[in-house]
Formats: sequence, C-alpha cells, structure tokens
Amino acid sequence: MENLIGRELEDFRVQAYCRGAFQEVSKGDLLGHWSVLFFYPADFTFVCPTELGDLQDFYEKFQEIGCEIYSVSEDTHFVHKAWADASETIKRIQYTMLGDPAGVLARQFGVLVEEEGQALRGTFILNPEGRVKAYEIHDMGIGRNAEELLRKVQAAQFVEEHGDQVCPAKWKPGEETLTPSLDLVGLL
Amino acid sequence: MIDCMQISADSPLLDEKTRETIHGVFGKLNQDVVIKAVVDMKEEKSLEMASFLRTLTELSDHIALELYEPLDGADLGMEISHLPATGLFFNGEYTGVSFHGVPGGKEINSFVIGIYNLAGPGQELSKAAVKKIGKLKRPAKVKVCVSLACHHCPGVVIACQRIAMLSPLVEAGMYDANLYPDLVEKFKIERVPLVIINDKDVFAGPRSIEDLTQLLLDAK
Repeated sequence: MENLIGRELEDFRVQAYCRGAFQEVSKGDLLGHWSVLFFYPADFTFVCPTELGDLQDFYEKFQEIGCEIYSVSEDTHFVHKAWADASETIKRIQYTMLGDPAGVLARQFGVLVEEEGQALRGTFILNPEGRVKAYEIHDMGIGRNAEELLRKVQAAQFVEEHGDQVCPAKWKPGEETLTPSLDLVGLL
Repeated sequence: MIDCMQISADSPLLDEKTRETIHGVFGKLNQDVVIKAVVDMKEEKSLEMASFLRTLTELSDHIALELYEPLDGADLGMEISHLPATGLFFNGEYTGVSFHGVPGGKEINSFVIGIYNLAGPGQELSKAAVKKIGKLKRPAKVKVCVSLACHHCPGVVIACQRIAMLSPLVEAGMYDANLYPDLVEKFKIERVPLVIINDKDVFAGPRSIEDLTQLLLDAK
C-alpha cells in the first residue's frame, strides 16, 4: 500500500462553489498556506452534512491558524449549489466546496471508488508547499471529527516549525515516577 | 512543620551511583540553601517527594530541609496549588524557584543544577544574558510544564529558574504535567516543554535563556 506522506499535490483545475458563487480552483490556490482536502462520498447524503457542518463550526479556528478548508466530492459545483439551496446546514458553509466529477483529485489521493464514482472519507493535511503531512481515510459510513482535525493541523504546523525538538505527550494519570536519569554532561 | 526525621532518608528513586554523582556536584556548593516543601502526607507523590528530598539533603551540609503540611505552607510565599510543591530559599528569602511533582527522570538534572546555580559557583552565563534579565521590569509567573521522560525539558526549566534567581520579579516553577490533569486540560498540553507565562502566553519547545528573557520582556 502506497504511503502518501510527503507527496506533492499534482496540478489540477476544478470548478468550485463558495458562498453563493462559482469559482475555479487550481493547485496554485492551495499553495502558500496550510490546506485541508476533505473528501466525502456525495452531496445530498445524511452523514456528510453532519461532518461538513461540524467542519464549518471550526472553520474560523482553522482560518486563525492559517489553514484553508476545501471539501471535495465527485459532484459538480452546480450540485453543491443545489445542495446549499436545499440544506440549512450546507447553506451556512463558508469554506470552498470543490467539484470533482472527473475524479481527478479523488484519484490523485487514492480515495476514489471507481465502480461507485464516489470518494471515501479521506482527509489530507497539506503544508504551504502542497505536500501531504498527515492524512486519514475512512470507509463510507465512518464520520470524522473537526476538532481532532484542528489538533492535527496544529501539531503538523508545530512540527514544521520546531522539528523534533519537543516531546509529544500522552498523559497517563497515575504513571509512576521515572527513575532519575542524571546526565550532567554539558550542564556543568 | 513536619518532623523530617520521621521521613525515610533512603529513597528508592536515588540509587548509589546517582547519589555519588549528586554528592560530587553538591561538594562544590559554597553557600547554604533551604529547601521548603509542602506535602500532603496522605498522598503517594508527596510521600515520595518527602523521602526524595530527605535523601538528597543528606548529601550536603549546605542544604537544609523543611517540610510543611498544606495548611502550614500557605505563608511560604510560593505557589502551592499543585502538590507536592518544593521551593528553594536563599538568605531567608524565597528565590522564586519551585518544583511541582517529583523531579525524577530527566528532571533530576534541573533540580540538581538549580541548587548548584543557587548555592554553588553556578553555570556560566554571558554578561549579555545577565544584562537582558536586568531589564525585566514586570512581575511574571512562569510555569514550565514537562514530562519526566522529556530530554528537552530540563534545559528550559534550568533557564527559566536561572532567570528567576537573577530577577526578583520572576517566579519559575517546574510542573510535571502528568500529575496535574487540570493544567493539561486548561492549556491543552500535547507536547513539552511548554512555557506558560502568567497563565496566559504559551510557548512550546526548547529556547535559550536569552529567548526566554525576551518572551518575558514581551509579555503583557
């Protein structure tokens, strides 16, 4: 199975729906800032508005940390608009909804289910150079958590800035005190 | 005050080799320091810390130990909201240097070096760094959140506490975040070292003493 970490976003050009208007989005639009590509199977389905709405709830926080959100499905931008017109949840979405009817993006990221013409629930965090720094792919019915995604983007940004000069912490209450590890070399 | 003599001076955390090394460092101390610790003798970590300190202070005549119950520790002038809390006192005054939790793992280094910097010759420090610390004009309370396995953490603890020793306006405490879920929750601690200034500004990762001083100068 291919590992996508570090892979650079390939050139693409798709039509998108954003805040009542249509626009063209290409690779260049995703460069210079952090980006999340958020694939979902199709418009007008039940779980999708739930997690897309969840993502909208955190959209301002993503923007605060310099990260832009792009949802992607294999629908056209016209269908995105129709969905926004029909759904209160989708109507309030402020981030850009990419239309990928030809499967260009979904195929590039390995989430296209060809026989169904739908994308798996894949989330890809790209750095400002357009390289994949983290990703997760869920099967169709398994929803995602926008708050956890925000944490991952923040972690990716931190590592990009500081390298490995921090220790990730996973707190285990009640853990035993570690035996002292005295190493005064360089300190005295 | 708790009678220190009732506390074991044979902490299992300090093996013979470690005691010998610390004894060597403490042999360079040329002034007296008093360690005052607030411990809740009903709690395991406090008992562990009491024995750790009792064992450590046996390694130098320049170090005295005083143990207090939480109710008696309120007047010491140090932060005691997270126990066990241990402060370093010099010439009868609180230095602003504290440790919250048991400084095991990598943090033994910051604890030993903290005492060495306070009551011994101390680590070399550039004139420029001292001058910069002298520019601090606003009070600041610094929490350095660590995990005991973090090899980047002691350096930040040592640097912040050095600033506290040189500036009467600054207090700097090491906090073993593993012991204090309220801090983990409040400051969303996912990585260490994490420097928190005045419970407001949060900075992660290792930094030099000059950079840490600058953060304090910039703090509102």
